[in-house]
Amino acid sequence: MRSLLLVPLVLLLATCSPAGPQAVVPQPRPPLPGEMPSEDAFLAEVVRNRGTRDVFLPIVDPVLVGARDDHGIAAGEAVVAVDLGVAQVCYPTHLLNRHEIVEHTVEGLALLATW
Amino acid sequence: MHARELDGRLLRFGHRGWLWHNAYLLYDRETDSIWHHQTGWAMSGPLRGRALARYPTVLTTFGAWAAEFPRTRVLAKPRADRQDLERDTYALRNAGLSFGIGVDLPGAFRLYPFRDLDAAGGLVRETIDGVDIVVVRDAAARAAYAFVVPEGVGTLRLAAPDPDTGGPRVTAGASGTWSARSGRPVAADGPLLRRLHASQWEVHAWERQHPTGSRFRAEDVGVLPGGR
Repeated sequence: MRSLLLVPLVLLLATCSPAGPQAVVPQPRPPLPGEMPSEDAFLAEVVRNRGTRDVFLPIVDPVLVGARDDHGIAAGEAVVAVDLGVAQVCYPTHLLNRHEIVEHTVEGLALLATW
Repeated sequence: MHARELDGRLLRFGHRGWLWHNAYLLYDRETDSIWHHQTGWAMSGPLRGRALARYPTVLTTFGAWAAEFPRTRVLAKPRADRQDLERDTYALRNAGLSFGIGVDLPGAFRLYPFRDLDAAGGLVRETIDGVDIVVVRDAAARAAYAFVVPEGVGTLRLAAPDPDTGGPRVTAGASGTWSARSGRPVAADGPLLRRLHASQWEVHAWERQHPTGSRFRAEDVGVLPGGR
């Protein structure tokens, strides 16, 4: 008898539970006709003498800290910031200047930050 | 900010060391395709023409961001390097340049130079590519933000700043008031302002990267930059 009462109770609680923050759904913005040059034209315009492959090394899977933790970022410093809905993350540009790429996963979202 | 998953596969990226129109290029380790780091477009290689999904981001001050999002996670500077990381490598170069916010819509690119946004009073509302958008300047945070205006919202204007954060707010009267830094409504049950993809650009760099784009000019709405 108790188990018969529990099933509808669980279902009721499930429908009444407050919705948590929703993840922002990322959207691709593919090139429209005419917005991207032909591959040959693109490759002809590429400048190849400013650095080698991996001239900047990505930051991969860093440990993130809280806003009040010891992060070394002054209030007036520039950050690149993103609101994912389920979390917010910010990256100091002084550090990004050295790496230009950060790869990691936040709340199950596989992210690529570029600067 | 891009999503690294494409067709159910996680891509890993490296810096190619090449530039195109002064923008650096990435490569993915899975196919060696060449990607534009800002648009997320594969420009060359097996994945040419594909686009990584993107999250809207802002370039702002840490103080402004953390005030708006106190639970934000932060990429910390390595302790050993903090003295070297106190200054902005490009500060001297950037001091003489003009910047703005470039908004990416599905069918259009449009730049809002900060100088023109300031001259226009800090808020511009336009319909671009059929989308009703609002662009708001936040000089204190050295930022600007772009959002889609929800349907049915009337005239938007700047409201009194947030008393806690000092951040700009926009209001449509009874239709709602929003924080411009987050797009979140002041009232708990109000609609969100959906953030648009928008990046800060040096004006001439944006023009070079977006030859099909358009540019907002304050004089087009009857205001001359500099308030003349």
